[in-house]
Amino acid sequence: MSALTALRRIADGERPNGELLPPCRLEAFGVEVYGEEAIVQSFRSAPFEISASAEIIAAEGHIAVFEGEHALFADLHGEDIARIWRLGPGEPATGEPAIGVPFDPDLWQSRREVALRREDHPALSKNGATAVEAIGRDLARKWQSGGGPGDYRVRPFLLRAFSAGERGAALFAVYRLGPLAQRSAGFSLAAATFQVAGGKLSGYTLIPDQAGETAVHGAVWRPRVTT
Amino acid sequence: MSRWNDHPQVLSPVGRRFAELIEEGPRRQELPGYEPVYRDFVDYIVRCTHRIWEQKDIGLCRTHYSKDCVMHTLAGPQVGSEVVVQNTIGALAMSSDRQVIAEDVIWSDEGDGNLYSSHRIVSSSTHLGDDATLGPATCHEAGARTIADCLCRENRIIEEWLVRDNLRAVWQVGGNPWELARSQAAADREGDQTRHAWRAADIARVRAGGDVAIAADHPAKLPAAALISALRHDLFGEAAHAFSPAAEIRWPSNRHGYGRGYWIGCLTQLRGALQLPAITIDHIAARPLPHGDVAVALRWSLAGVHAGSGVWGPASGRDLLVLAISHYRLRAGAIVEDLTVFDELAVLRQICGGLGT
Repeated sequence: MSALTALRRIADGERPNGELLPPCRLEAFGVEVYGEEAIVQSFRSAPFEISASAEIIAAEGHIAVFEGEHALFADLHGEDIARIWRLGPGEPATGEPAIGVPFDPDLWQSRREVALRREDHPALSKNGATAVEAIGRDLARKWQSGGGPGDYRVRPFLLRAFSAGERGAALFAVYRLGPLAQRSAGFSLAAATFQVAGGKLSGYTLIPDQAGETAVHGAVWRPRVTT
Repeated sequence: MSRWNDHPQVLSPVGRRFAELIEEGPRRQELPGYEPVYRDFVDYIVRCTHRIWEQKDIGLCRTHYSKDCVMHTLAGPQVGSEVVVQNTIGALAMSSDRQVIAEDVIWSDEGDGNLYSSHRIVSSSTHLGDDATLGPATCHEAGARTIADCLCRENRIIEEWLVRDNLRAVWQVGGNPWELARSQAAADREGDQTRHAWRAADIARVRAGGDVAIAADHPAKLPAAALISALRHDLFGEAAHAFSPAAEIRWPSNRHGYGRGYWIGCLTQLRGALQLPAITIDHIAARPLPHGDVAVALRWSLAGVHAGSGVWGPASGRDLLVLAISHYRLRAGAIVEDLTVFDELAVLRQICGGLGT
């Protein structure tokens, strides 16, 4: 079974036939779940129908699906699935408590715009790398969570990116401090599908993780061990 | 004694289906004294864990642990295969449906017939039974990460270092880690205190220094140098250059973020609480991963005085010991993933006055 067929089955809330590798994780709705049963249950609760018109981009080790306001990203080993991210609107789930980590995303007074290293992404072409960097810069400058005013500080970190001819896909973790005087802080996700022409970015579509963003907004900042 | 990238036929479990992992067949590696069912050392670790924990043949601990095996944890050492048998039965009585999923096995040949594994596991289970640590059954899901480092010889584990994200496990079942740590500490203060002498001895060992030797061309050199630079010399920025700018960082108690700054943040959170820190790198291993990546395992110890307020509450003035194991994924000369595990519940227990003076 191809990775896409398996992913379609899982996204419909059906159990796969071994294509989900045992340590597979799913990040969706602001939380992370682990293992086949939990992943299937997550999709059963909120199925993701991959239609015939969905934009599907794949390369060795990766597959990405873009469907309206939704996106799926997956790491592959052969045709088996090692990790999944789901982005889009939805009801944020209740996450486990976590220790917040105070940190500086820049390590420099001149603010950086996007954190990436091309060697991390062997399936990304040279032109694709230029395109992804441009998308990251746009994200850092234009990101607006929840339709409100622009966030105070936005720093995209490139997690996955790959090219398929003149097309490609990228997944960013977006660290953002919220716009209010008392900042919300945390990572949400954004996925992009892009096209290159003449060696440059010619267009892209960005899918923010609206559910994850809502979860970050609602999270209480606790940089300590709590009860 | 073989090099870290010898035996390419002995594959990491990364990217392999469970059915493939436990498929029986001929030997792929010389394993003198090991049961014939084990095809290679990774198979030994994955299969014996499966047989003991999932197939419930717990008595196999008697043929897979030496009679005097020492198991080191931050809650104190335990000795002997019979203790392992009893602890395993106890754990399974509490979480009977436990799946012990191998995320990776990073191993090394220590010479003279000794092999060493660093086995990263996620235990997926349900809190179905009462437990001394987690309390009355809650039916909550639990899935904390564990790394078990095992020194093995002739089919038996002869020494083990076990770290588990226990604070997360307590949170998962709705428990209160501070309350639990206080009650564990109160119990520690009862009875013969010489049973806690190991902790003072280990703190003294770490303060005396002495890192394991690392060859200049060994992949562990990069992350070990980063930890030493950060925690011994406070050169956090310099240390972080070992990491990709977008590296993924997972530390205990659900710390999860990206980038060099986040890694520094995890370290300064500890360092801010711990003054006069001392760190030792206690063991290293590395193995090839699919697609040219390299997996590195570091076991390390950290000792210091809890003299700063912060992540662990107001300063207690206590000497603290942290036993940690980090697994890294290296790609094209940089660290792209850091999965670090230590028992933060046992750190709270020390802060609350437990495990001896």
